[in-house]
Amino acid sequence: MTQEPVGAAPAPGTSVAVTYGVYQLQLDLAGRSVAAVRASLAGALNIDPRSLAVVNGQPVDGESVVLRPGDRIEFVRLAGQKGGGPVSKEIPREANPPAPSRCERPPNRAPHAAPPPF
Amino acid sequence: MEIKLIGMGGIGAALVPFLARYFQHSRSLKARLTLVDGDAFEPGNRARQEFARFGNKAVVKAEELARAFPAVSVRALAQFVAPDNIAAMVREGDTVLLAVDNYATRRLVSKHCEGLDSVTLISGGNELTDGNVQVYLRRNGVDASRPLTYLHPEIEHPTDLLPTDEGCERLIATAAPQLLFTNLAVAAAMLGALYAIIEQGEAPYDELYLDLPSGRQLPVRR
Repeated sequence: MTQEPVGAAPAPGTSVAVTYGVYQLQLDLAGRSVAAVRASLAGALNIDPRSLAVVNGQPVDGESVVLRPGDRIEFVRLAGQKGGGPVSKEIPREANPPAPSRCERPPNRAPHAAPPPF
Repeated sequence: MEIKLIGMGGIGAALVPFLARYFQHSRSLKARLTLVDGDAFEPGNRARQEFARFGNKAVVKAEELARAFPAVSVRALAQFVAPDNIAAMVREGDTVLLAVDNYATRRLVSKHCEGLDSVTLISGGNELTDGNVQVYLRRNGVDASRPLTYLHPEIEHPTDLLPTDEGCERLIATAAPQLLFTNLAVAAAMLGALYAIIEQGEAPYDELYLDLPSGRQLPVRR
């Protein structure tokens, strides 16, 4: 687990733990609302506006919730979307052309067939 | 051990040789690997993926692995996962390694796993230089960790499509650059999670985030 204080250490009793993706910070945020924390950190941490806020392990219902000293807030980073798709639409010419890809199917081809029994 | 690897792209193709080698040389574990992908290896994939020849990714990679690791049973399903075939693809007791390029398939697989009594689901994804791994375990009909959709509205309500529903225009429009090293980092993290589950019987975390430029990783339990 990483833990990186940013700037001056927060005053005792006002610290809130903030997590977003790989970043985990202790910041002087007690007394601020979830919405205010999101707004103030959105640029620095590049927080996606779609990410849910979770306070002390519970999703918050509305972001007017005010943080208290010792609270833990996480803005849940969106899952990585990719992992396998095409890298580019630019396909170089090949001496031996590849097998048809999914974008070269006849339009009336069945997309999939029933798998064999396991 | 029945392992289904869904998605043979940048992450899946990086992951599977190490997975097969691990089981080839394991004295106590025997595995049957099923590789699932309806896509074909094509020139544009060469920057991040290695296949012996052009053709369906699952078929070509299964051929390679069968030659290199004869002690491991490897099969190929040259299909995309879809609502009408997932029940036959992912079954009770399976370990599923999910390495796909869209949220819609993650939702489909996670929802299906929620209906099983016992299943291990390890899902990895990435953007250009960062990524994450999610672990969903069900044991004896009870969630031992959270489904992929928990706290992830982008998976619960995906705006992308299953590959079987995608048109070419949308596929090209959504193609985003990827980095081989990020694929590799996510693949390694997925294998690390699998190893922890095999050895400890439980997930090491609910979700792991990693970021290449900063060198950081953060495991999270929720």
